[in-house]
Amino acid sequence: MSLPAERTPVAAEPARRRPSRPGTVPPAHRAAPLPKREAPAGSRAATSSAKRRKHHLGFFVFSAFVVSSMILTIVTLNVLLAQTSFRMDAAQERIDRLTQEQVDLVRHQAALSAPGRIAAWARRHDMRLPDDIRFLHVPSTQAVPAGGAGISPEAAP
Amino acid sequence: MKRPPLKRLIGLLCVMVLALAVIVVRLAVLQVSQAGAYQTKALDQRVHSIAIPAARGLILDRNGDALALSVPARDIYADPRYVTDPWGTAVRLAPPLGLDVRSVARQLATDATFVYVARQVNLDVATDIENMHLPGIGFLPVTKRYYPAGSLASQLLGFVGVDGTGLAGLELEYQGLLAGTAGERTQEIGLHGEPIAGGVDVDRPPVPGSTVEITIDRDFQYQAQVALEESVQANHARGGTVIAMNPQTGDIYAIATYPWFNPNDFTHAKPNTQALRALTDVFEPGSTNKIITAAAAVQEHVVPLDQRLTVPWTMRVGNFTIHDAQIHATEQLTLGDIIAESSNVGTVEIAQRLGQARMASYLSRFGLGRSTGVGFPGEASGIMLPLYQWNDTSLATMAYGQGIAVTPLQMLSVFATIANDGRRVSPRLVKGTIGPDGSYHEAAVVPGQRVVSPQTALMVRRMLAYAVEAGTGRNAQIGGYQVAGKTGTAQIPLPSRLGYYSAGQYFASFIGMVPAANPQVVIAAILDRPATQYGGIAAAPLFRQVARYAIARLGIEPGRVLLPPPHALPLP
Repeated sequence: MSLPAERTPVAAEPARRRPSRPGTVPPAHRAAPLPKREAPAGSRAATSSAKRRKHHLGFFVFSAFVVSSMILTIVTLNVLLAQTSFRMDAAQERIDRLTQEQVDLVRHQAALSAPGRIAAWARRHDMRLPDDIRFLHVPSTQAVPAGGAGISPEAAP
Repeated sequence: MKRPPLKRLIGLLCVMVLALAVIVVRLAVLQVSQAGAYQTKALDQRVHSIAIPAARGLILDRNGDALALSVPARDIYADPRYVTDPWGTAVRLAPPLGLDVRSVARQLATDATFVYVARQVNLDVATDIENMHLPGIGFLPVTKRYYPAGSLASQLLGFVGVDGTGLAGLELEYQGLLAGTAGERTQEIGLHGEPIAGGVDVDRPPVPGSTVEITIDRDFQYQAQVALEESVQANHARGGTVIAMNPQTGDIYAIATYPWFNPNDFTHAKPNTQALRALTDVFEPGSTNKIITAAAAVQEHVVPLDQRLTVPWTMRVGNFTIHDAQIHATEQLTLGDIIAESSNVGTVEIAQRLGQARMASYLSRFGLGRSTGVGFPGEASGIMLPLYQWNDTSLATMAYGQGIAVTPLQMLSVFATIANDGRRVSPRLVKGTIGPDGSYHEAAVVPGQRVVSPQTALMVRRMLAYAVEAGTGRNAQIGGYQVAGKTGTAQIPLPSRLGYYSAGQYFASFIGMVPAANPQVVIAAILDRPATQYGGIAAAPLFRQVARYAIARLGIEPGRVLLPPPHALPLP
C-alpha cells in the first residue's frame, strides 16, 4: 500500500479534494504542507500569460509550417500530375495525328502503286510488256537437245 | 410572464415527433428499401454511353500491298429547323457533292430534325463544305472503305455498306475478323450536357479489326484482267473467267470474271458484274472433263496405253447418237491420241470399259459435286447426279463433260490435282491474318488427299502435253516451255428444254499447266459464248498470254521435257 504523493497547493487553482478511498489515510493525518513563499497575485498572472503566449506562438508557427508544407506538397504534386496529364494528352494527340498520317500515306502508296495507274503511265510513255519470254542458259559441256532453247528431255516412265 | 400550458407543449412535441417519425420512415423507405431502384433511375438519366467504332482491318495481297483499306470520311447531315435558306444552302451544298440541287433543297425544307445530305463524303470535299459555315449543316466523323486499285479483284474483295458491314466477297466472308470490336465511352452528363466532374467516365477502347492477307498477287491479277478483257473483246464473247493457282499449295494468284465493277462506286454497278462467277456459277465443262476419264482409265488399267482403239465418227448410246466435233473416218487411236484429238467417241469407249461405279467414284474423288472449301460466300457445289439416278447415257455424256456442271474453280482443281502428282489440295484465298497486336497467323493448310498415283498423274500430264504439241491445244504453246493442257468446247444447255442445247453457243475453255514436268502454275481460261466458238481457238491464246506473264512474274524455269505418250498419230 502506498501513500498519495504530497501536493503543492496552487494559488490560482483551488486544491481538488479527492474522495477518500478506503484504506487511504485521511487528510487530517497527512504530513503538513511545506511553507511556500507567497508571490504577488498580479505578477504571477502576467508571467503565466506571457508563458502561454510564447507557447501559443510556437504552436502557431509550427502549425503554419506543417500546414503550408502540406499545401505546398499537394500543390506541387498536383502540378506534376497536371503536367504529366498534359504531356500524355499531347502524346495522345501526336499518336492520333501520326496514325492519321500513316493511314493517308498507306492510301497514297496504295493508289500510286496500283498496277492500273502504272500501266497507264507506261502506255503514255510508249512502254509495253515483252511479246515473248525466253530464258538464256549458259552453254555447258552437255549437248543441248532439240525442242527449245535450254530444254532437256527426260525419258518418262 | 405566464408559462404556456404544459399540455399544449406536450401536444406540440408529440406532433413534431410524429412528423419527424414520418419523415424518418419515408427516408428509410427511399434510402434503404427502394435505394437500388432510385439509384438506377438517377444513373440512367445521367450516364450516357457512346459507341466508338473500331477501325476496319486492311486486305493485303500476298506481297503486302493494300487492296482494301478504310479512310476517314464525313457524313453530312442537316437539321432543317436551323436551315434559314433551304434553296440557297442547297445551291452551295449540292454541286461539290454531285447531288441534284432540287432534291437537296427538298430535304432541307422538311420538318424533320435530322436528315442525311450525303454519306461517306471524302475528307477534302467535306472540309470545303465545312468552311462554308452553312447554318443547320453538321458533320459526323466516319470511315469509308477505299479500294486503291479500283476494279482490280473487285468481285473477290466485295464491298462494304455505309454502316461498315461487309456485303459481298471477302469483305462479307471475313466480316468478323475485319470489323474488330467497337469500343464505348460512358460518361455522367449534367443537365446541359456537360460532363460531371468526378462522375462516371469510363473508356473502353475499340479493338481494331485484323488485317487479312490474301493469296492474290496484285500485279498478276492486273495482267490476268487485262488479258481477259482483251480476249473477251477480241472474240466478241459475253464474258470470261481466268484463274491462276499454285498446284502445290492451292494458293490462288489471280481470279477474275469479266465484266467487273468498281467497288468504290458499287451502288452504280450492274448486279451481273458483282458476282465472282468463277466460284458462284456452274457450266458444263465439256472436253476438259475428259482428263478425269483418262486418269481413271490409267489408274485402273482398263486399257493398255499403247492399245489402239477403233474410233468412228459417231456411236449410238441408248437413244442418242454421240459424235465427235469434226467429221472423220474411222481411226485407230491410243488413249493419248483420244485425249489429244479430244474425241468424244473414243472417250465414251474408254468410259464404258471403266463402268458407271468407277466413273462416279473418280468424279467424286476429283472433287466434283461439292464445294472446293475455298471459303467464299455463295460458292456453288456444282451439279452431279448421284449414281442411282444415272440413266443409259449418263456414263457416256459425263465422260466427255456433259450432264454434269462444275464451277471453273472446281475444274481448275481437277487439273491442279494432276499437276500436283495426283494429290488434291484445296484451293485457298487467304494466306494469313495479322491481329490487332501485330501477330501473324498463317491460314490453316488442309492436308491434301491422294486421288491418283504420281505415275498416273505423270502419264496424264504427258497426254496433256501431247495435246498441246500435236492436238487441239496448239495455240497454248509457249516458246521454250512445255505446256500441258486441254481444250474444252462445251454446249450450253437450254433452261427451257431439259436435255437440249442452244445451237452455236459454247463455253470455250482451256485449262493447262506450265511447265508440264513440274507444274508451278495451273491456269484456267474460259470464255462465255465467243464468236470463235472453240476452246483451242478462243481460250488457248488467253491461257498463253496469262501463262507467259506467270512465267516472268513467278520466275518459272523451263524444266525438263516429257516424252509424248504412246500414240498412233504422227507428231508435227
